[in-house]
Amino acid sequence: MSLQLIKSATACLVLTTAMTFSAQVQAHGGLSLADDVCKLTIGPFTMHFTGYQPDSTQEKEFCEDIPATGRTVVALDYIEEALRPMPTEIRVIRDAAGDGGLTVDEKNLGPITVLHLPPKVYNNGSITFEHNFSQPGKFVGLVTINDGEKEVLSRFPFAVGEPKKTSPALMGGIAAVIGAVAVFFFLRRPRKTGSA
Amino acid sequence: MMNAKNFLKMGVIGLNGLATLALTFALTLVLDVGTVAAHGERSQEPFLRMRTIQWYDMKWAPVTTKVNDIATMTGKFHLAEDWPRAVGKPTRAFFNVGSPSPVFVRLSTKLNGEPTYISGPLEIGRDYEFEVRLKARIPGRHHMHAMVNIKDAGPIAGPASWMNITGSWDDFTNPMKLLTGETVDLETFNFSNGIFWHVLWLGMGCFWIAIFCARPMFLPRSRVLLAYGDELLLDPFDKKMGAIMMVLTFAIVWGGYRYTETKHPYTVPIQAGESKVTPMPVKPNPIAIKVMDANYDVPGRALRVTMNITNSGDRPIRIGEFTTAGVRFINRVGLRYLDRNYPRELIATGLSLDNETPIQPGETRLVNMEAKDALWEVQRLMALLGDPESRFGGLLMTWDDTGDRNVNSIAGAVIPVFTKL
Repeated sequence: MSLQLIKSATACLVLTTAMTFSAQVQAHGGLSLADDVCKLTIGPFTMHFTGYQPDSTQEKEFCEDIPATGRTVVALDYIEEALRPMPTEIRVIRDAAGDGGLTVDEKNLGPITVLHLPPKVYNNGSITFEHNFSQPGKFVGLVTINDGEKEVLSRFPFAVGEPKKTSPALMGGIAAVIGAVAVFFFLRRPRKTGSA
Repeated sequence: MMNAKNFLKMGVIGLNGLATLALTFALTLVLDVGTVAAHGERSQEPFLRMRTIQWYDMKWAPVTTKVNDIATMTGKFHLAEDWPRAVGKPTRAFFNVGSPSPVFVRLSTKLNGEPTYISGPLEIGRDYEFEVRLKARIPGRHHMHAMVNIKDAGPIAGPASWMNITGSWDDFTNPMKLLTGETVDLETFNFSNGIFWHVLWLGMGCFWIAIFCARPMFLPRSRVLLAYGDELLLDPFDKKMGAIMMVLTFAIVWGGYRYTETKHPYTVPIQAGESKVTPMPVKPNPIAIKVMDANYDVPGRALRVTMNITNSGDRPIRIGEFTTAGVRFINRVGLRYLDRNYPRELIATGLSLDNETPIQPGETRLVNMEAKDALWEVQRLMALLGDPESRFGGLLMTWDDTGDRNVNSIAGAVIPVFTKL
């Protein structure tokens, strides 16, 4: 009985653990992949984020990290109409400290800025910018909107040309699944022979 | 026989299962709570939205109503000549309304002025005008689409507008005068009768299934049948039960029919058949358009179309609007004729031409048109670049100096490009 109980309990635990991974992942600041769309959350608004490396992968889209160095084109599409009359500023800075740009001196971003688009109203609801990342590294994108009363900032750390790290939680989940399968198959009681 | 040990084991396994369900439910609530938006139409393939039913002149009025008030949805649609080969042809189509549950009650539908309550053929290349009268039922803010259901193609949703209903659902009534002169409220009429019949048939169905669950269940039955044939399964009790159920079913159906006939002697059968609506008359159109090539600037969110436009009329014309999948790309000319009540989220002002001067009578001009806006992505229209047949479609609208409009359906293959910024 105890073995059966262990097996059932383990299976339940694994299933429950696995289901928690179905939730959306938000590990890139305001940037997240939700409902199959890469979204940048900025205050109450959202933008559709799309990255391209046309010289290597043509129209293939990526979200969050940039797979390789080289010419990179990013498009930000306003999802809400309310964003269209608001000036939007874009800045990409180097993340030397590796903390997602949280400790940078916001009054002196010039030396670490690799790309800057001053505030501008984009009537077409789409912002496109291009940068040639010559070296791999960590960067932070800063998108600022101004609704006339206050500025709202969204930051999204991203890496360029760095191997993708596997999330420890995902590794734990996979280990749990493998462990459960092992428990199920190797500790299974041999089937009784003969008819019941 | 289940002993105490097995009973305990099964109990613990069951509790584990329940705990899993409860935990999953709780985690789902905690981790996956987000706003819900009614934008299912964006999941429709772009070729369905761009190259089948091409909607224009859509109006929703009024957009705010009280419960029991009447609203109308009017507009026109063109059936694209470039109808995709993979989509069923509109040999049997039904005009419908797409809404999140019956928030309005549809009182009537007219196509080209004719009442249309059944399906029928529509002609590719022709235009139809529709009018739907709706009665506000459930309070809230609802995304209301015009829609055409097509056999072998499914529902094809048109543009939608948000319509608000205020008041209380409890106040909703839907009175209908019968042939006998009696007036009934269709919202509540014979509600208990409907519940009774559902419960009756559901109960009989459950009883029938329960018999076969108890004597013995489906899988053992199937195994016996496969191994030994049906001799072992033929039980006299089953035969008796089957006969009783059959007689009871026929008796209930006949009795119910007789009861209804007695209580409601004057009835109109549910209408079937086929609607035969003549398309709108073809308006003489002096504008001929031939699409030469088209490309989509992927990061620039711009469709660029090169086309030859011939003006065979006697007045100069100007391009003002390109509309596709309900999204209206307009320039200054189109802005002049734009209905200001059209949903703002479906208007794009990024229509531009390489030569803005009017096309003169008798002139043939190679026109480069650009329709640029984030809506290509937000409405997921350029997902067509991943299709085996990457073609765009839409309506190009031109106006002469008297305000007379011509509408041309255009289509062509699209190639993705990356313009250097």
